[in-house]
This record gives sequence, structure tokens and C-alpha cells, in this order.
Amino acid sequence: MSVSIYTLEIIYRGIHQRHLARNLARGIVYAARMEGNAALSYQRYGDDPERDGVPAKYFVVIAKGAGSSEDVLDAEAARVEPDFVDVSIVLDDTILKGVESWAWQGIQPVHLKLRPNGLLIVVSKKNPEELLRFIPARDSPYKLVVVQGERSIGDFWTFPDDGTVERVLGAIAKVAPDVLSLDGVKRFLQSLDKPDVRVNRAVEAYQALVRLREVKPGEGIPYKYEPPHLPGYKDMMIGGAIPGLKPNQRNPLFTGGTAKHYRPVINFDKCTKCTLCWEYCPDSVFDPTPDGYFNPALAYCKGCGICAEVCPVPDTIIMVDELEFEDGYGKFIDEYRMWKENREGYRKWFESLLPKAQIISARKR
Amino acid sequence: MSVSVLESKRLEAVLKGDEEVEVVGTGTDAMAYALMLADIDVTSAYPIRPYGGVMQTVSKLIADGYLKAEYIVAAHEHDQFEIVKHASAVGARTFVGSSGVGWLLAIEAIVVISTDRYPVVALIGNRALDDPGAYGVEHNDALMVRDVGWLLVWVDTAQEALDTTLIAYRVAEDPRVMLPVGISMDGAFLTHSEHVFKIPPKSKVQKFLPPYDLGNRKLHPSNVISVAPQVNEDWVTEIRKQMDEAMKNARKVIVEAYRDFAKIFGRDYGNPFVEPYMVEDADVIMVGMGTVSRPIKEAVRRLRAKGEKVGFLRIRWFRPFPTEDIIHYLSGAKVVAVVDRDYSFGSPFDGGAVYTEIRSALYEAEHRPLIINFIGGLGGREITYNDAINMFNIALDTARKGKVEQRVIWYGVRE
Repeated sequence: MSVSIYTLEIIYRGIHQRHLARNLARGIVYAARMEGNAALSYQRYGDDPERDGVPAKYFVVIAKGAGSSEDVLDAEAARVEPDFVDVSIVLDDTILKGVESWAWQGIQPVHLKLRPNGLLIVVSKKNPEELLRFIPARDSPYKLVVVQGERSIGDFWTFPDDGTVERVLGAIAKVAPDVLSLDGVKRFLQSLDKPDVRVNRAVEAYQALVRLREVKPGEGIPYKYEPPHLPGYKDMMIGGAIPGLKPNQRNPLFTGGTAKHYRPVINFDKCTKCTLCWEYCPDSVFDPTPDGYFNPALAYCKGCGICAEVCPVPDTIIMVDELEFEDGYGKFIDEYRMWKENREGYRKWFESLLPKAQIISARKR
Repeated sequence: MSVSVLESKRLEAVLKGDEEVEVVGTGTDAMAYALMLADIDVTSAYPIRPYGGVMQTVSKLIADGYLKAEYIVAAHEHDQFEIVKHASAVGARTFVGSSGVGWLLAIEAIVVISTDRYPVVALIGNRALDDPGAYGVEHNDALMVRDVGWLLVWVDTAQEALDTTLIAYRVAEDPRVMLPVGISMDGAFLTHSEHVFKIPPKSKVQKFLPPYDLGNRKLHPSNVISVAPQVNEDWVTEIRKQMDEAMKNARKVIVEAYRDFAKIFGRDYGNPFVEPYMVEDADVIMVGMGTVSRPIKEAVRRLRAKGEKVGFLRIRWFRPFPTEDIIHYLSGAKVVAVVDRDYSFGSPFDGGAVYTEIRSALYEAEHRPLIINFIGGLGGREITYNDAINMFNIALDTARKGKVEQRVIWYGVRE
């Protein structure tokens, strides 16, 4: 029997989904081993997933057809990243808007590593057609798979155990039975606590929650990824020092804006110009305008919500889901300019977003 | 009356005149005078024996107005080295130092000084590592940083301490090098003994040592740069390779510095890296670092008087390691005997660090001599000329037999 190697990638949000991604990665390894195969998993170490919201990665490699000894995976061990993946699992659909890892690699398309005809599995409440409005086009076809479900967001110390792991495992079994069979998934889940509940969730996803759409080359938004030039030891400054930023200049090589799943939207009509958002923003995102307002440079915003929290006027800075905005990949809307150009249009737009805003602080409601 | 009453007129003479003057002082005094001549800007101090001597003399020189420098008393050794790292980054010529476990407490800051490429010069007043407590010399404190981009040099006289300090700034600050230099001085035997040495005039030092210039790496509001960014696997190999190139460049820069030093000051050290002593026709050559050279030279003279063909090779620069000189001087001998005032437990032949490095260098030699190793003088124990004669006799016996019976000998260890 010949050996088949399958590589899976799990893209998740640092801190909020760290345990979720780990449990999913380990779950795939356990399930693969229960089917008599070898498997291993590793993190993309440089991502530092302890950082709030950073798009981080786990990888799983499965070898089928050679028994359960890990030796068959020697070539896949001690890697930073695999060269290609067969399956990419995105645990937060706002990550579709770009992956900027902590390494200096620019903003990468979410499917950069996906092989032609590979599977891009996304946990989302939207359908594939809607999600394609956020995903860059590419030269080769792939399959976009949606697992219907709420975004699972925990924090650093907690794991919500809300069924996401089970549903994703069920979805893998549905669309990639070569990688993981439903039987293997069931056997793994039966080895845990609350086995019936867990198996039912996986089976439910397998039977009813998966939407698959073939995506042709060129479908999606335009975005060309350019890997950054990395200097040689003769080119770089001594000791790896780098030219600093001039006053009022922002780092063109590292924006970090893909770390957010919510963004601040500002009601400039109610703004009192108190400066607190500008002062408290940990990423210096707010640009002062000539008339005294503060305009967020969204490419650099990490979505932490501190501005909304410190704003003393209720419903003046609101945090809204990233998928409400069809921008990203380094280019973001300019809220202040929108407001200046069409105040009435901006007011209506803001009011339409208000019901969708995340409740930041009960104090202000 | 100034604190430096015995030296005040002499110090004024070298600061204002063009002639060198003779003084009596310890090895650390000699180094402090070199710091005065090099016109350091910032030094940070935290007391520990035997390094403490230099900070005392520097503070006197500042108090008496012979040196204008920021003297920062640190909370502990780690702060000490962080302070000079940052001062060096903004363009200050700096001096720092420590001994034994103090040096090790600072190790994290010591490593970033070299990886960030700041030409700090430090005194390592060699001292045994605790525990057990001992003030005396062992070289393991300095050897802890032998692999991380510090240039390491051992001196054996107060004069050499002074001269080497000036040379160290010249080499460290060379744009082709930009690495820190650790000057090792044997605790007690050099740091706390009084010898005669000459202080050159500052006017000559200014000809030898150009001003410290970091170029485009100077941290300043008008030159905005970011130092030590987080780079992960994408950059680290290249940054280490830069250090490798700098360390290799240092071999050339050291030669230039000693050549110019001889021209300007009239003191010629010959080969900068090693000091050969009666090695030309020697069957047995002993190798060591630091003040052990003095009694070994006496032993060489006494044995030569009896017709024994023995010699001595003192290693000055341990990093960069003088591989070619080691091969040149040692490969003609029948037996090489390395005296290590250090240990490297569990190393290839359970010997000392110098022995292990010399074995490695001689692997490339056309003729490989027999090599034996003496571990001795630990914790400040004496190695007298009689001890050196005993060691030579063992080495001569090895030469006669033509084979090594015991590779590593713990000299004088009580059983």
C-alpha cells in the first residue's frame, strides 16, 4: 500500500481561539491515529498567538498507509510551515480579509498555502457566495466550504467547548473523507467526555451544515501578494538595526490590521473632540484632522476596542464586525473623508451599523 | 590635596605634555589610566573583587578632574552592562567590567551588547565561579562568552593591560569589527600587585585612537532607527553571519592596530595574537594564558640552562582564536603541554578549554605534536616556577617515550 501524506492548516485568532485551534489540531491527530495512521501537529511558532487577535496557524500532517509509527513523518517534522496544504480551516471568517503573521511577510491571502483543488473550510454564518466578496482571486481553482456556525471566541484561559471542534471534524469527514473518515471522527469523540453530544454535533455538521462551492480561477477580489524583500547579511544594517519611522509616518512593512474582527466606526456628529481615543489607542491609530477630529487609520487598527471603551459619549465609537465592510488587504475605508463628503449618507450608514455593534461596556448603555 | 597625590604630577604631565611617564600601580590602575587617555564618556560600576580596583581608580580620576565621564553606580551587574549598552548606542565611548559570578549575573546584557554590535570594552577580573566562594583566579568567567561575539584578550603585565585597553577600543570601534572586547586580567596576580609601568602622553593616544563613530547606527532624534527588532527565523541567520564576518575581520584589524601602536608609542609586541618565548628549536612547548607566563618563563630559562629544549607560547587573543599562529609555532614541537587555569567538564577529553581549542587547531597541522594538558592554579592557587619545571619534566618524559600516557593531569590535586 502506498503512503499518502495530507497536510491541514488551521488559521485562527491569537488568544481568542488558541485552545480551540489546539484542540482541533490534536483532535485530528487523535482521530487519524485511531484509524491506524501516523499524524503530528505543530504551531507556526513565530506568530506568538498570545498576542490579541493575531492570525495564527496550526498545522496537522497525516500519513496514511504506513501504520502509526511517526517515522514516516520525519520529513514533515521540525518545520516552521509546510510548503503546501491540502485543507485549510479558517476558524474566524474575518480572517478571510488577510493574514499578516508576526513575521515580516506582508499581508498574505488566506489561501496562500492551499494546493490547487484544495479545500478552504470556513466556520461562518454566511454562505460561500457572500464570503467570496472577501477572498482574493487566485490562479488555480479550489473548493470553498462553509461550516454553518457561530464564530467561537474564547479568551486566553478558556475554551468554550461549544461544538466547533466537533462540527469542523464532521465537515472534514464530509468533504475530505480521504483525510479523515466519519468513523474515525466518531471513534475519537467517543473517547471523550459527553460522547453522545459530541458525536451528534459532528454528525449534524456532516449531514446538514456543510455548503461547498467550487471556486474558479479569477473568482474573488483582486489582490496580488508580493512577498517582502528580505535583505542579505551584506545589505542589512549592522546588528539588524532598521531605519526608523519619521514623525507621522507609519510602518509600510508591518501594518497588523488583520488582527481585528471588529473595527471602530465613529459618529463624528457626536464627537466632542475630547482626544481620549487618540490618547488611549495602544497602536496610535488615530490621525488628528485639521478640524480637530480623530480619524482611525484602519490598516493599523488591531480592533481591541479601547477607543470605544474610553469614549465618554455613548454610541459615538462603536465596534462593528469586519464582515460588514468590503475592504481589507491593506486598503481600508476612510471614515472621516466619507463623513466630510456626505454627512447625511454617513449618518444613515452609521445608524444602519448601530444595531450590529458589539456592546463594549454596560456602563455606557 | 587630591586623592591621587602620588601620581598627580605624573598624570598632569601625560595629559598636557608629549612624554610618557613612569608610575607604580596595579594592573587595574594601569587600565584606569588607559581609560583616562581614551577619554571614555560613560562607565557603570558595581563592586566585586578583583574587578573593583578599576572602578575605584576611575572614580578617583574623575573626582580629581583628570577624566570627564559619567560614572553611574548600577544596582547590580546586569544593570551595569545594560547601562553601557545604551550609552554606547547613543555614541558614548564606554567602559564596564566585572568578575566571576558578577560577570555571569550580567550574561544576558553581555550577550546583547555583542549581538547588537556595540564596541563596549570590559575588564574581566578573572575570578573563580562560586560556589564555593573564592576570590582567586580562574578563567571560566571570561570563557563563558567565548562563543557569542566578544573578542577576548588576556594580558600578563600592567603595561600590557594599559596598552591593550587602548588597542581594544581601536579594534572594537573599527567599522569592520564593531564588537565588544573583554580584557581578562588574572585576579590578585595582576589586579592586586603593584608594578612599574609607563603611561603614554594623551597627545599620542589621540593619534592612535580616532573618535568613536557609530555612523548611521547612532541612536539620535535626528537619525531615527530601530535597534534589536523582533525578527524571528527570517533574519537571525543573516545577523549571526554578520557577526561571523566581523570576528574574522578582527584578525586583520588587530594586526593593523598593533602595527600602528608600535609606530606611535614605540612599544612593539611582535605577533599580536601570541607571545612566543624560546620556541624556535623547542621540543616541548608549554602554552598558557595570563600571568602564569611569568613563572613558566623562569622555568624555561632554568631548563634551557641545563640544555633542555623547552619553550613557551602565551596566548593573548583567545577570540578571535589565533589558529594559524598556533599551527605555525606548535606543529614543529614533539610535545605541546597546555596549562589551563580553567576546566571544561565533559569536553572531548575532559580537559581544559584552551587544550580543547588547541587540539582542534592542530588537527589541520601537517605535523601533529603530542598534546598533554595540565589543569592547575584553580581558585587562585599558585603555579610557581618549580611547578612549571615539574610540568616540563612530565612533558619531556612524554617526548622521550614518544607517547601520551595521561592526556589530562590535574596538577597538584590532593587525593
